[in-house]
Amino acid sequence: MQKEDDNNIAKIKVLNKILNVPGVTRVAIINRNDSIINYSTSPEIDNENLWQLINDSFRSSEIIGAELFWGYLNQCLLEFETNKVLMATIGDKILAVVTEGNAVIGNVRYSMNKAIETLIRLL
Amino acid sequence: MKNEIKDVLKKIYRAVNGVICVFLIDADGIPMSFYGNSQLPVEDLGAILKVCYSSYFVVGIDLDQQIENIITEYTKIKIYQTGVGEYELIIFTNRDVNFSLLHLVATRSKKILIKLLECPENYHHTLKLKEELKIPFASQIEAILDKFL
Repeated sequence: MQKEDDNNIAKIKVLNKILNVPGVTRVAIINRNDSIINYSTSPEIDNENLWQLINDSFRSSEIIGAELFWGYLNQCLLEFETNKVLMATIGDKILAVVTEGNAVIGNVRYSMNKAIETLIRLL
Repeated sequence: MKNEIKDVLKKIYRAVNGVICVFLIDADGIPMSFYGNSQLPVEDLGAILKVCYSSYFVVGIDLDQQIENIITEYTKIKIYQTGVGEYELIIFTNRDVNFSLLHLVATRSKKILIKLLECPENYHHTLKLKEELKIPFASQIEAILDKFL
């Protein structure tokens, strides 16, 4: 039990590191199989619907890639008018990051890649 | 006009090293113009990627914004999708392509294609409104559920 709690705290710390990158507004680890959101650290915004949509969309891209032998889906970047959504695979889960217009994507990607290394160990 | 569109696609193909194929599809996912090499039929690719684009479009509705570009990175290839009015420009590339250069070339080509295809500027806005009308409000959902429960 104690070990599980420590693990959860470590995960939140990793997510908070991404959230501290300028321009990042929402971060979450989404469980792909049953769409359960493991962790999300963000301001008081109703994110559940968004994470579900991201999960479903990412899953559809992943299935297409597997069916057409394009390989494993590593990352996906969605560019909207101002916001950007970055998604990356961590084992059977998805790391999703939502940014505002002023975010430097290279910086966000760097912090995501760093976080993925740690999260793979924790998950 | 078809040749002009093909010229734009050819320019993208030649400008960036690592591009496998470039094509333009319409609102139904049917290819309008194609340049490059593809092992799969372009009609199939167009239909599949249109579905992907539509699903990411819904994420945009939730964020209250229209989608501009989708960049998908697989282990073998990368796919760049961008909306051109009601049409969509799709670029297939190798894994090691210079993506910033591709982004620049695609953005410039998109502007040319918008002029060529005479796309309405507010197309995505009308599309968004149409999609929103399909989604019932919470109160409507409750009213529907009340009939059955």
